[in-house]
Amino acid sequence: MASVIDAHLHLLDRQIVDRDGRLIGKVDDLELELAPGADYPVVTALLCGPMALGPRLGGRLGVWLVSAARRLRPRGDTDPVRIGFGAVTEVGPSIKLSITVEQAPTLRLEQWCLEKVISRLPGGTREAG
Amino acid sequence: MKKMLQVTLGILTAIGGFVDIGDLVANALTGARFGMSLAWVVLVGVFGIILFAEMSGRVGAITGRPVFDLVRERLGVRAGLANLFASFFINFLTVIAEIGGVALALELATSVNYLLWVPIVAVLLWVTIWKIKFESMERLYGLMGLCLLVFAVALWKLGPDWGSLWGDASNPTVPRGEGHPTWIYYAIALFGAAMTPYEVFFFSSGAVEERWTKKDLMLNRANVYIGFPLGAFLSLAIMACSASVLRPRGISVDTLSQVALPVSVALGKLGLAVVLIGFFAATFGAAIETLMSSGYTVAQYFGWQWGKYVAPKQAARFHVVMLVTLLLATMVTLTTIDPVKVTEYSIVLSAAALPLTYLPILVVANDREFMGDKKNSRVTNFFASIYLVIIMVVAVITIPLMLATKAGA
Amino acid sequence: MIGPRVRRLPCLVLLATAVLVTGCVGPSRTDADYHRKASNSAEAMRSAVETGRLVADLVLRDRAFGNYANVAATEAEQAADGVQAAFDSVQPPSTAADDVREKFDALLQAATGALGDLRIAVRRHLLGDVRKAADDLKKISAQLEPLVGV
Repeated sequence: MASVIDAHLHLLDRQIVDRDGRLIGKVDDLELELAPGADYPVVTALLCGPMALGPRLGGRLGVWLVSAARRLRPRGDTDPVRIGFGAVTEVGPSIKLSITVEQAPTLRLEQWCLEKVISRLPGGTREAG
Repeated sequence: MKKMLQVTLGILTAIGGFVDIGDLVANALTGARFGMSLAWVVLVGVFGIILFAEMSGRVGAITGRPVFDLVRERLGVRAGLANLFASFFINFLTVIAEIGGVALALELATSVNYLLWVPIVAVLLWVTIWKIKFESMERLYGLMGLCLLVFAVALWKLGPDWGSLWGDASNPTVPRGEGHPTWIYYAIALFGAAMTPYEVFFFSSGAVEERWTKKDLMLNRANVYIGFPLGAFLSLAIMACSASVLRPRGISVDTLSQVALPVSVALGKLGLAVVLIGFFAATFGAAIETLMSSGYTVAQYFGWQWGKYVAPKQAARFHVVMLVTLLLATMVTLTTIDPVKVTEYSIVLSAAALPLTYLPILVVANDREFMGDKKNSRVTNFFASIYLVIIMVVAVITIPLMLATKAGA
Repeated sequence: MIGPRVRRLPCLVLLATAVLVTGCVGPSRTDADYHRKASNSAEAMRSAVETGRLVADLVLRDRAFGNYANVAATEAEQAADGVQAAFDSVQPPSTAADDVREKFDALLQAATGALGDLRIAVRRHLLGDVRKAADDLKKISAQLEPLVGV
């Protein structure tokens, strides 16, 4: 494990995994903050979901992604999902968190798919895989 | 015994992945048209898929991350997304081809038009993916696919001129009356059929589905070293059957029924029944693999929960992607588009897109930080670099060659 | 770097598909060209005819069950239909080529007809008719043989 973490190389686009091993999303962007008087910015949060990915993709596709994602959200809510960097416990091939998926609300599309499709199929709400 | 059964991941990937509708058609077609003069391509292809499937399984076992998860991280968001579009499209064509293949196999057995089978096949596929456990699935279709060994039995029963088959294979020359471009075009088709990218998407995701760890690296090797050579053996048997029965009669293969003709000649009704079961199992297994690969690639790019190791309600997006893919593919198949033609294009386009999949695997398998002491050995890298050159050349010449030869006409 | 390449690729693929779909049998400008097309058609037709003969043989020796033989015979007939339609759509470049067309077309028609007879016989499981169709196909195949690869 490298002691120095390169934000671009070691964080961006990496898989985020919650405390129970469930897949939360990718590090679609990072929130950086330059504290007053500090020399360099500090990563304060991982940003996930289409609201973070869209602007990073750029172009027409990025705009489309953002506007599609907006339809699943309450009016006026355009902030990407934010996971404070304090919740990160391990940076490896994936980024492990100390919180669970429920505490990181990345799952609007998942919820939509579950409500509109999966739970309506026979056996869609069963427990075992 | 448990270990024995675990090798079925390799067998399923091999039967349903190496030998799928693409290989059935490509091997029979080239055997009928070029004899054994393209047999070497099967060997080159199988060696390549062994090399890269082993790498992808090892990466999956050590890092817990399957191939497409790493594609985005290594290529960046934009190039990763372009890769996703290309891979998804080619995979989608393959889903269409496999669904058509299952329906054609059922038509051969029942004489009921394949279009009537397509919706039933789609429902069966969904029920299988939805209900049956990953391990049971691969065991069922992997073992049923072994029926294709009947091609080897048929070949032996036909008692061909082994010397001339071997002569053709070991000293490959372009048969008289065929142009070099066409011959190379079909070589590329065979290569694409052997190295179809979904095989590694599925294999590496399967390694994560079965929760492989460092301890399972031997299992990974066993799967790869048994499964894929078995697939190559079947491919060569199909090619040789075609070369011995169809080629002397001037029959060119454009339907699945013709692929089965040599078995019927050699072994009669029983052999025919077995080969049709084999067709069904191989194409159905491949349909499952390609469908799941469509879910794997999309979910792994976006970081969504995927897999059959969690309940469907925990991987809702993954299941929706598969369901939508299945519905669209079924609709396209129902347009009466010729599944055999779709197969031919899908394997050639696969060949053109190979670097998109295999380059990121090679890069990650060499990452010391991810892989520790399990990173690629020098020998592996030596061969992998050779394949990388081959893959690049193939990718560059495929589309121009397709245009120049009118797709091998 | 990847951007423009990726954008160009789908276009190329579409173009390729368009060329392939429309360009199976194109116009022919010279007699030689016309003869080459006839030769290609003969080769494709021989493949269908030989498939039919093989299926007939399997049925007569009771080595294939009915459903399979039916599908295989039907597909051979469809292939023959396709070959004939494709050849008929080619415009003969000269009046000299008209002669070739007439003779060759009759042969193609005979082949398609015989494969149709085979399909009917296989479906009804009339072994006598299957044998007769097989004999016809054998003659037609012999007539096609010299036209292949001219």
